This record gives sequence, C-alpha cells and structure tokens, in this order.
Amino acid sequence: MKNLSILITDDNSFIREGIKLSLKKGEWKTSIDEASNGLEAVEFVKENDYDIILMDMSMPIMDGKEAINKILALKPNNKILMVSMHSIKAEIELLKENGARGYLLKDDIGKDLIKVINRVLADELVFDLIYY
Amino acid sequence: MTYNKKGFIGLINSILYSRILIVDDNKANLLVLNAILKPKGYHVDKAISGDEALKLCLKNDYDLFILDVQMPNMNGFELAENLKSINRTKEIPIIFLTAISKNDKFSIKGYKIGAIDYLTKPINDELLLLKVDLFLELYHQKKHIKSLNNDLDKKVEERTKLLNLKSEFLGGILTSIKNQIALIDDEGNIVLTNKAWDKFSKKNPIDAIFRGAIGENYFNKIKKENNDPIFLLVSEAYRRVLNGLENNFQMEYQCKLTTDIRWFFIDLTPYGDKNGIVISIADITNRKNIEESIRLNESKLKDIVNNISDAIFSVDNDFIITSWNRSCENIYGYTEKEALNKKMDELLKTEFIHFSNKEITNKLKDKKGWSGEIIQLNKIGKPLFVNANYKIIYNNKKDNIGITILNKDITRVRKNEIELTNALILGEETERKRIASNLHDGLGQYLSGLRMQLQVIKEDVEEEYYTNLISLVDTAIKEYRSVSHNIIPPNLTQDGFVEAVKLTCSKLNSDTVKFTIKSNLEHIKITSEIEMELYRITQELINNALKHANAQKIDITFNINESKMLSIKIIDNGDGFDVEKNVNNTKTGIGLKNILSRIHFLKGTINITSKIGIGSQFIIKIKL
Repeated sequence: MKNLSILITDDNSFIREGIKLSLKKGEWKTSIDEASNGLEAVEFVKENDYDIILMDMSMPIMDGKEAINKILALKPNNKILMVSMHSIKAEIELLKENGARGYLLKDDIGKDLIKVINRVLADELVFDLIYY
Repeated sequence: MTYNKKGFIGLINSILYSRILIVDDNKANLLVLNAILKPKGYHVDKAISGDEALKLCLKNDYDLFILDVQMPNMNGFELAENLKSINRTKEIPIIFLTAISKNDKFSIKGYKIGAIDYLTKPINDELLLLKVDLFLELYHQKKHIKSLNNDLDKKVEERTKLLNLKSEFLGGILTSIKNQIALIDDEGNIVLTNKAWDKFSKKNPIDAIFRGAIGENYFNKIKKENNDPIFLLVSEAYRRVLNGLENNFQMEYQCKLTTDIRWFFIDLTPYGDKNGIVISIADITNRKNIEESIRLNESKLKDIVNNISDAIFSVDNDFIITSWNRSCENIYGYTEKEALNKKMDELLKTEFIHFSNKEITNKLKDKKGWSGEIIQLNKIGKPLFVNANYKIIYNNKKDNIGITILNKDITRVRKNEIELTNALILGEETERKRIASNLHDGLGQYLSGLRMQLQVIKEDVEEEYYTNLISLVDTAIKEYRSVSHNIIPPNLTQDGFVEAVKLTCSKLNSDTVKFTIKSNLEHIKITSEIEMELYRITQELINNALKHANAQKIDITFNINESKMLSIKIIDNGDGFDVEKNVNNTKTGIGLKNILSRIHFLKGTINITSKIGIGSQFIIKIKL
C-alpha cells in the first residue's frame, strides 16, 4: 500500500467526511489533514508537504482562488485539485492558468475521486470531467 | 278793398248773420230804414221807443244799433247810455240819426256816450249802407279778434296750469330728495332751494355748500381758517363753473367733524347759459362704508389665499393667468409680476400623465371641474409632481368666465414613494443574496455530500436501490439549483446580465416555450448593481410572459447604440392585456409596478404595447 498525504480544504465538515469516506475506496495508506478555509490550508502547507491538496472554491476568510495562488507561491510543486458545486467556464480557465491540476464537481466525488487523484498523481491535468 | 281770409269771413258774417236794431219813434222812418237795409240781406228789428228797444235787446243779440236821437221819454242818448251800461249790449256799435243840425257840441256828446257815427236826416241810402257795412265789418272783426284772444287766454291758462303742475311736481321731488339742492344765479343769489337745503343758511352760496354738507359747527370752525384746502377748492370750482370754464365739478369729501365720519358728494353744474349754478350735495357715507367693507373683505380673502400652502391661481377661458398667490411663487418660482397675463402652459410646461390638454378642456366643458395628477416644470426647470384641481368660475348669468386652479405639490410624496420602493427592492435583493448564500453553504453542500456518499456505497447496495436513491438525490439537486438560480444566477457577476439571461432561458427552454436572444452588448462595461437591475427587469418580464400571458414564444433583443442608449426589447405571443388598467394596479398579479420602479430607479423609460389575443411588446430604454 502506497502512502498518500492529503490536505482536504472545505468549510463544510460533512463534505470533508464524505471525501474521507470516498478515499477509503482507494488503495492507499492515507494521512489526512483537514482545513476549513484557505488560510488554514496555507498554514498547513507551510508546515507540511502533501501529495495532493483538495481545495473547495467557496470558503470564508480565504477562498479557493486566493488560496491556490498563495500555496503555489509558497511551494510551487503542490498538486492542487479544485472541488466545487458549480462550473463556471471563465473561472475554471483562470484556475487552470494559475496552476490547478484539475477540477472536480462535488456531485461526482463519490464516483470519480480515486480515478482523478491517480491521474493527477501521474501529472495529468484533469479538466475533462466538468459539465455545465 | 281786398280782404284777407278772416276779413272775408268777417264780411260773410256781416252779411249773413248781422242783426240790426233800428229805434225811432216815427214809424215812417222805421219803414224807410227797413226798406233800405232789408234788401241787402240784413236782419232788421224795429222799435219805436227806448223801452221797446231794451226789451228786444233782452231777447236778441244785435250787431248794430241805429238810434234816432229825438224821441220822447227816452231819447237816443239816454238809450245809448243804457245800452252801454248793459254787458250784453255795451260793445255793440251805435249810429245816431238826427234831424237837427250837427253842431260840435251835439256831436261831442254823442261820441262821448259811445256812438260810432252820426247820420243826418234825410238819410242818404248809399251813405247809410256803406256806413252800416263798414261798422258791421269792424264790429265783427273786433268780435273775431276778441274770440281769438279768448282762445289764446284759455290756452295760456292751460299752459300755466300745466307748468304749475310740473313745477309743483318738481318742487315735490326737490322737497323729498335728501340731497341739498340750490339754484344760484349768475350774481350769486340763491333763487331756488329745496327743503333739505333750507335747513341751512341761504347767505353766501359757498358757505351754504359747507353748511349744508357738514353742519354749522364745522363751518364755524373752518370759516376762521379760510385757507382750508377743501373750502378753497370748492370756492374756486364754483367760480370756474359759473364762468363757463368748467362744464361740471364733482368731488367726494370726507368730513371728520365728530367721531362719526361722514362722506359727501358735491356737484356743481351750470344752469342755462351763464345763468347760474345748480349745487347738489349728497350724503354718501353709507355707500362709502359699504365700499370700505368690501375692500376689507377682499383684502382678508387675499390674505387667506396667500397664506394657504397650496398654489392657488386663476385663469381666464384662454388659460391666461389672472391671479397668483404667494404659494404659487414658492412652488413655481415665478413672482406675481412674472406670472400675470402669461399663458399657463407656456409658463409652467404642464404634462398630463393620463389625459391630454384637449381631453381636459372637454371634461371642463361638461362638468364643473377636473382633478388629477400632472407634472409641471418650475422656473428652474425642475419637474414637480402636482395634484391639480380645476374649478370653473361662473358669473351671475351662469356664463363661465374662467377657472380657479388649486395645485398641491406632491413631489416629496412621490419621491418618498420612489425611495421607499427602491428601499424595498434593495431589501429584496439583499435578502435574496442572503438566502442564496445560505442555500449554497447549507442545502447545496449537503445535497452534494449526500450524492458523494451514495456513490461511495454504490457497490454495497443493490443496483435498483442505488438507482432510485441517486435519481432522488439528483432531483433534489436539480430543484435546489433551479431555486438557487432563480434567486441569483450563478454567472451574473462573472459573465454579465446578458449571459445570465441566456442561462436562465436555456433552463426554461422546453417543448412548450421557446426563447430567442439577440445582443450586441459584448464590449460594454456596466456596474454590478446595474447588471443586477437589468437582469431582474428582464427576469420579471420573462416570468410575466410565462406565468400571466401563457406565451409560447419569447424574443429578447439587447441593443446599445452610439450614444450609449441601452434598449431591451421583449416580445411575447401570449394573451395580451389592457395596458392602462394594469400599469398602476398591483393587485392583478401582473407585477408591472415592480418593473416600473426598477426602470425608474435606472432613470429609464418603458413603452408597453399589447393586443389581447396577439401578444405584448415591452421596450425599455436606459441611458448608460
């Protein structure tokens, strides 16, 4: 079993629980950190290195758009996977430009999370699962 | 001899109607005379004595006496004297006949008694006839003149009576008249006065004027100060009128004699051609008091009108301003001087919201007035909302002579209404944002989480069971999304209101309703507030078309021109509606009031046309 250190950033604990549950399907030995907003996430990143960061878009204090820039400025090698309830084209384009590795809709996390994480770990950009 | 008509008639009289009385104690003489006279057509009576003659005179009227002088008992002279003493016979001419020679003494006596002529015996027929003719003619002429005189006298008497009556009548009027009236001749003497005047002195006419007008006391007072201006003025006027320099002098004079102030009216009019002056003085205190009282009332009324806070003014039938109160100046900015005699519409630039000027004139013709809301511009061009009241003014003959207008400035009220509506709209938006936010952070997340977790346990449940659950959750998510979108479209801030509209319509597109959207707005910048308003306006109109009009085809066009005028055109093929009824009526469910408020907030205009059964068209224009 491979190790996977993952940072889950979402202001809703229920969602975080859901994501953790979904992760169980994958064959990793996971070490999970949970941040409830962008600022916390940045703090976590300062202290730790993660294989993958899951980032919610809309959060209080610091939202996903801002957090991604801050994190990549700190440690540019981070693989950040954006997670959201909506899909807005312009937004997604911008995130792509700013270095996000993928975009996933919350509705399909249960189905697609493991697949997407593997693809991102393999340095793939995952922006094809979005529907409007 | 030639005769004039009267003389001729006299002659006819002489011949036809003359009656002669011959008196002679000698019968033979009587016969002779008769024989001479009768053939000529005269009527002849004979008497042989004075007594008989007198008796005959009692019975008959004679025109000539021919008397023998020498007669026993009563001689001719005596008879003549008797005849002269009787009224009936005293004017009748007498011819004496005498045999005795006519010496002067004899003649003188005869003439003295009253004879006209003498004839001596023996009588010369021709001479007798000529004299008889002549004297009869003279007598008849005399009688005729007398009768004419009598007629004249009668006429004069009648005239005099009439004049006296008139004079009495006028006198009666003058007596009963309260005015003091006097006629003064050219020498300043009072020749005629009426009773009212007589109460006062008749000496100096000018003194009398004042005496008559104001009473003794004042006269005594001012006589000392003869330079009283009124006194001098009237004295001068009197002189001028008398000398023909003025046709008339009139003056109203206030006498502050006692605490009771009295007003008099003095009139001096010339009489005849420099014959004198008629002075008339009337006490006009009552009239003056009434005039003053009317003036005070008018002044009070004007004060009241001026103190009312509403604009009150009046116009004539051509809408030309005839009065203007203080509040008019406050509200409209024009002073009374600037406003009077100007045409109302030119000065105030009135816009009738629901009626045209023509319609209002017609309404005014039928009823007594009109009231409604109008928009007017004040002096500096600021628009005012005004509640106008027009009331027609009539004169005694029930002709309409103009209109009184009372206008209430309701701009503030309207402004407050607009501000309130805007606040409500703003409140709505804020609330919506809050709800959307709540939904997003709460319900939305949970639904997504639920779906997520379902997917995780997919392998652990039966396929049918899983399919049911997932479709249930998907339906929930879809509805949540729809609600959320309705509240605030997710792409509004990012992509602008046109894209948001497109997104909304794409979700509403179905078999029963089709949308087409055209736009040339790609490169313009609008603030997010305005984007929101524009989206809402469009959204509400679309909702209207769907919900109330049952439209199946909705075409939307967004356009902006060079002068930055944005226009939104929405055409639907729905049921149509009565535009005028629904514009202000919020109860019918067609939420046009909300839309109108938003449009007004953006300082835009809307043009609505609708045909029942065909559809509606809304064109909104906003200057960016």
